[in-house]
Amino acid sequence: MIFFKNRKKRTEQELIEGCKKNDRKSQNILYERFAPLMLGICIRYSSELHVAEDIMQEGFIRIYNCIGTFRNEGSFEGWMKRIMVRTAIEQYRKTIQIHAYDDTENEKIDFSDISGMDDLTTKDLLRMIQDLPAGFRTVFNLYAIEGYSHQEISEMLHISVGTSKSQLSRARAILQEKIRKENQTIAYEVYR
Amino acid sequence: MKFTDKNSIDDFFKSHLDGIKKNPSKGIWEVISKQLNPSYSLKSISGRMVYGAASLGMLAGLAFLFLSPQATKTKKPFLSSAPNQITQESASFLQPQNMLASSTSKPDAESFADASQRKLSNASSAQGTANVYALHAHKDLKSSLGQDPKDVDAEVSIPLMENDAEPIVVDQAFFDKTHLEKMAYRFHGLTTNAPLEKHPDTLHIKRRIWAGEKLFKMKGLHVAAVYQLHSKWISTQNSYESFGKNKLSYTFGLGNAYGLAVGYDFSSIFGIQIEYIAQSEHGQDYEEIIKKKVVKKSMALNYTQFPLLFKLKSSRMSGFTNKPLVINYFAGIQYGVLKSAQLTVNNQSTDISNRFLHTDFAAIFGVETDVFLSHRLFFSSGIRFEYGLKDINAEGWKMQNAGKSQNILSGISFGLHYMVF
Repeated sequence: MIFFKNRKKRTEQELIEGCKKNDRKSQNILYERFAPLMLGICIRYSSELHVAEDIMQEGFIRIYNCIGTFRNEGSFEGWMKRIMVRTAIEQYRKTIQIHAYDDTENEKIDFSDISGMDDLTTKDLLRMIQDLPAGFRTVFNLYAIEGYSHQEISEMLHISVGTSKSQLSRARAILQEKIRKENQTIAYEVYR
Repeated sequence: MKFTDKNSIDDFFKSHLDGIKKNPSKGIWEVISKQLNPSYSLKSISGRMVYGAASLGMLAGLAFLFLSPQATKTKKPFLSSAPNQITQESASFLQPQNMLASSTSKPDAESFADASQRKLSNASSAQGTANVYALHAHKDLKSSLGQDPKDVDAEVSIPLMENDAEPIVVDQAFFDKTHLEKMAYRFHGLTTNAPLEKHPDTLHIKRRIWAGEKLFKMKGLHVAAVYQLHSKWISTQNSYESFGKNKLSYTFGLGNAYGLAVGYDFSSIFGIQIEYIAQSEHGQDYEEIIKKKVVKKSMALNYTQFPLLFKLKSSRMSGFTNKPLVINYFAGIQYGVLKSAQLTVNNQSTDISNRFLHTDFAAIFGVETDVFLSHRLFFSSGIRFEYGLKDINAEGWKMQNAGKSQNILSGISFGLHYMVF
C-alpha cells in the first residue's frame, strides 16, 4: 500500500523500509526530504559547491547501499549525517593527495538561499569557514560543530592528537580575527 | 562581539551553522539513480565492454551470416573426380528407364526420372560421349517432396566426365534424407567406390574439402598484411587522475592496429600464425565533469606487439565465391612493448609514459574466416579479443584498493594472405 501513499505523507520508517527493498520511489522521496540538510553539512567541508554536491551524491549512494545495516537504534537523521561527514572526510583525504588537471578556479558558494537563525550572520560565518585552509576547516567542523573529540579526529584524519589540537587552535584564531574585522566593518557602516 | 573562552567561538559557529540547509542543483538525483541501478548506466567497465564487444560482434556476425549460408550450399560445380570412378554399371544407371525402375518410391522416381530424362537426354551413353550433362533435380524435387529444396538437409554431388577429358562435376541434386538413403546407393556407386555405410553428408563434405585442397593452396607457409579496428579499454583506470575532485566516466574509444603476419597451415584443420603488429593503439577515453562542463580526456598508449596464435580450422566450399572458405578458431599469447603514452586534455598532450610498465602480456582469442580469392591468395576477416594479463601501471602509479589496470580490446580484424609454398 505504500506505493499509493502520498509521498509527503510517508513516514520516515516507511521510507527506510522502502529503501531497504530498493524501492526507487522511496529512495527519491528520502533524497528530496533530506538533500538540503545533507548539502548543508557538505558545504561546511568544502569551498566549492560542485565538490560539496559530489560529496552529497556519494554520501547518498552509501546511505542507500548501507541502509540495510541501520537497526532503527537512534536517530536516522543522525545516522545519515555521520555517513555524510565520513564521506566528506574521505573526499578531503583524497583531495590532498592529487590535484591533477583541474585548472578551474574555485567556485564560491552562493549563500543567497541559506536559512538559519540569522541569514546574514550565517552566510558570513559560512564564508569564513569556507575561506579556512582545508585542514583547519575540517578539524574545526569535526570538533566544534559535529562534536568529535581530538582522539576521534586524529583517527579519522590519520593525524596526531597534537596536530588536531594545533589546527583547531589556529582555526579559532583565524575565525576570531575574521569576526573582529567583520564587526569593525559593521560598526563603521552603522556609525559613519 | 567578544569571546570569553575558547569554546564560546565553537558554540557561536555551531549555533549558527548546525542544521543549515541548501537546495542542491538539479540533476543530482538522476546521477544517483543511475548509479544505484547499473542497468541504467554504462559506467562499469564490464558493461561497456559488453556493449562494445556486442556492437562489433554484431558487425562481424552479420558479415559471417552473409557468408555462412552460402558456405553450406554449393550451387555450382566444384569437384573433380577421378576418371576411373565411373563404371559401366553406374553409367547405365544414368539412363532414365533404369533410374525409374530402380526407385521404390514411384512419384519421386518418376519426377526424378523426368528431370533426368530432360537433362540427360544425351547421356544414354554416358560412358564415351563427349558431352557434359547436368542433373537438375532441384525444381523437380520441389513438386515431389512438397517442400522447397532449400529446406532439405542433404546434398550429393554427381560427377560425370567427358571422354578422354578432364573430369568435371556437372551439378548436384538436393534430397531429403529419406530419399537420399534410397537413391544414394546408386549415386554412390556412380560417383565413388566408398562404402555404403558412410553417411552421405560426411562423404560429401570430405569430397568438397578434397576439392578445395586440390584446386587451392590450403597448406603451407603464408605471409600477410593485417589490420585491426578495435574498441579500447583499461580496467579500473578511472580510479586516479581526479582523486576526489570530479567524476571520471569511461567513454567509448576506437583504435587501430596494423602489421605483418607469417603463418603455417599444417593441414586444413590446424595452423599457427605469428604477427608483428607495428603499432597498436590502446588506452582509455574519459569524460570528466568540471564545474558542470564536460571535459574530454584521452589516454593513448601505443604498443608494438607480437602475438602467437594457434588456429583450429574448419574448411568448406563457399557457394558465394565457389572457393574454399575456412573458419579459424584461434587463441594465443601476445607480448607487447610500450612505445609511447600520452594524456590529452583539452587538446593539450602530456607524456605519461613513466606511469606505465614498458611491457605487457595478453591473452588473445577470436574467430576469423578465410575466403580464397585465387589459388594462393585469401582474405581473412573476423573478431578478436585481447585481455591483458598484467597490471600495466608502473610502481607508484598502481591503484590502491582498486584492482589491476589491464588492457582490454575487442574488435574486427582483416588480413590479406598469400600462400608462399
